[in-house]
Amino acid sequence: MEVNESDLFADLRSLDLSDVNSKLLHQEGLLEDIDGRLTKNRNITSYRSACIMFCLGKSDAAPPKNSKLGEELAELTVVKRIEFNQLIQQRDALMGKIVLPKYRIIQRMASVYEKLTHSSESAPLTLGQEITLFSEFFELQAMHAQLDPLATVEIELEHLHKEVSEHVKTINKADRDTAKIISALVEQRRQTTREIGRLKAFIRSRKPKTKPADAGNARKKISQGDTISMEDLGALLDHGGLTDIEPIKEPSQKKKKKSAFTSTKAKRNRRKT
Amino acid sequence: MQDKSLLEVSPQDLLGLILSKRQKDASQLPKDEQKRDEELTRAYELYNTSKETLAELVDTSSGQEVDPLEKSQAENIVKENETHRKRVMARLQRVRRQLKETRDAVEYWSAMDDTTLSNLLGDAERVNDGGLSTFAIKKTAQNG
Repeated sequence: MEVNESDLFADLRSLDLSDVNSKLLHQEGLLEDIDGRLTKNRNITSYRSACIMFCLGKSDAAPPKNSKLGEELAELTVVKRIEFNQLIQQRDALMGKIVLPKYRIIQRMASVYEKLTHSSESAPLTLGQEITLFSEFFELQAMHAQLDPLATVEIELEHLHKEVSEHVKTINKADRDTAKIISALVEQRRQTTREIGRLKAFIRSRKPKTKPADAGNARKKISQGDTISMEDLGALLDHGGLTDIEPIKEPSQKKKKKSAFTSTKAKRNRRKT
Repeated sequence: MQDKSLLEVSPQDLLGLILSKRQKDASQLPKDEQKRDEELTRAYELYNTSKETLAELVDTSSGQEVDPLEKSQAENIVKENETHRKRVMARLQRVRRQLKETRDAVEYWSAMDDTTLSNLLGDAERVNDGGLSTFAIKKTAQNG
């Protein structure tokens, strides 16, 4: 809204007050709309942020699903990350049972096989060592077989990791766009509140500058039996109504006497007879 | 051996290979034992000869002063021969121990029955059933 620097209300002076009022109503509606959009966008940003924290493993708690925000990609990414975490747990549980990775198992098997099947003059095996190694060889074979599903899990983990990373990038980009929208909305809100303030100030300036009716005066008038205006009635209704009006009391004799006694002022031209 | 081949080795295969190696050793070790035995005999002969030489040297020079250099050389030869004899004796004993161990092993692996084999494959069985490997058990024990 362009405002003349010398006259803040230049564009409004030619308008009727009703037009200015409708402008004010329009701006107030706009403000409500901006606030609604700001809240929604801030909720989206906050939800995305929680999703990204979870998806990057910086937070343990998955944000609760919020279908009102319409953030399908963030929700999907959270689901994928949960799947990823489950696979990691599965892999860790398996590795906890087996301990050695496949390549170490193979290395060890080759070494055990060599010791069992080739004579060594420098360090020949005792029967006890041979029995232990025989047993170990087939345990290593079983361990290797147990780790077979790990290959599929690793492939799946890599795939999920890539997918989650890509989604996080997309969400981050969308979030940057939302941040721009929020920033524009904040600026729009600032301008709208300023315009509302200007319109209200103009409306105030156009109202007749009458002294507001005094409720005390109105009461006095009623108690004295005088007629009251509509403004006086309005003031009375605003300040307690008509029920607490009391007639004006005559000053008491006692008070008069007391004033006569207590007065020490000189009483010129009022001599007692 | 290739990785895949190692994974395909059966208990019977490995048992056969171990037995074959042990039998080969069992046929070779008596020859080694004989060699070491002969070697020991020679070592004893050398040792005894050198001892006699030293004794003669001392005897013949009785009444005369023994050449200290000659005596010292003779003593050194006796010492060397004694060390050699001990070393050869240790080798012979080692070969004999190996031979005994090999014969015991041949007997053990030849007499392998299903129950013993099943016991030997107990750890593999546990892992196949989804249990902890021996490595995991050791790790848990260390951490606990």
